[in-house]
Amino acid sequence: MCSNTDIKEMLPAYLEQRLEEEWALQVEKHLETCDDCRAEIKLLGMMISEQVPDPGEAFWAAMPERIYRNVQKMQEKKRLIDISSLWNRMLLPRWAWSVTAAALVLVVTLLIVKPIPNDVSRITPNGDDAAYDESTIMDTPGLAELSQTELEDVSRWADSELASLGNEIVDVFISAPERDIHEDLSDLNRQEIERLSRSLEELEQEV
Amino acid sequence: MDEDLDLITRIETGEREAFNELVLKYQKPLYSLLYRMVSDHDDASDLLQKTFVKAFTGLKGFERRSSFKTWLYQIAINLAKNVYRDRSRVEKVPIDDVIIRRDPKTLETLIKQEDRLRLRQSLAGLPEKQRLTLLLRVQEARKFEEIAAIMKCSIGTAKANYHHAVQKLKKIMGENQ
Repeated sequence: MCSNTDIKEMLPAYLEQRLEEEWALQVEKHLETCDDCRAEIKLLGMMISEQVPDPGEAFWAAMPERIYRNVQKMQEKKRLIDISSLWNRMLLPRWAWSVTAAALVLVVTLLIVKPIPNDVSRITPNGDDAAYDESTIMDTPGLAELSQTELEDVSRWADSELASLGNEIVDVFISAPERDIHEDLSDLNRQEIERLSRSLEELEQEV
Repeated sequence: MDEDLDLITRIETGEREAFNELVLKYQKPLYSLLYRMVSDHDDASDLLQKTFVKAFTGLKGFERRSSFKTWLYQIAINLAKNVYRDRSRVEKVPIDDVIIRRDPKTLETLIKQEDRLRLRQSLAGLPEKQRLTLLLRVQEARKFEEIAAIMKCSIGTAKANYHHAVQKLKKIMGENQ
């Protein structure tokens, strides 16, 4: 077996007549005496002469348009996937909803535990349904009689009452975590959603 | 190579003419490479389209460290490898059928056809890297530097793969004779 790798590496170029004259002569001289390289050049010659069929001009002319259409199709597909993944990123994951719900429960508990200001006690029931009798209603002064401070206190008390609504929603989340949050929200009317929104804002401020 | 980069920049700005120009420039040499790898027009045509689509949809991933041509060849070879592997499981046609179908006119033609078939079978028996290196060097007339870039290996490895491939091919052809 011939070990002249320089010559062997030049054989394909020699066959295709791409070698400079000087090198081509060296290859020819080597081939005169080397059976191994003669066998090799015959083999390479067979490989080079293997023809690739020409599919025709119509095939080549149509190819850019065909490829362009496929590229457009792929890019459109990619865009749709990007939009869908962006939407998924915008949606809060379940754990985030759970954390929000837990925080809401905590805030509501704090508000319940916190005593009602005296001024509010004067104009509102005790918070206990049992004590909410007709005489209490009769004793309750009208809103027109209240001072600005009292009105603000009433407003705060009302907000804390609304928090119980949020509490209910939280319960729903905790008891049925597999339910879709969007379905739950769609059950609420506009006023309830506004109340929930206010409660969430308060929570955000406190956090 | 700079011409290719210029075309790519124009393609990125949405210029359709540049797109066509780049496809027209490389479609024939790429088809030739793919046909030699898979020996079938439909597969080669399909792979040709897939190669360009993959290249154009992934232009952002082309880092421009190598030439566009090398990058295109890398994509084509990787896609063709899978088809070639699948095809190796395809039923083989008996040698006599092939010769008759190809309408032999003389004894010499018969022998040549038989030699070619034996050559194809012998090539198919080579390890993938060696077969690809031999194909790029002999049939595609690529320099070892280019082969090394396409095959993502050193020039020394490309040369070694080439020499091993030739030796094995000679041996297989000799055994078959």
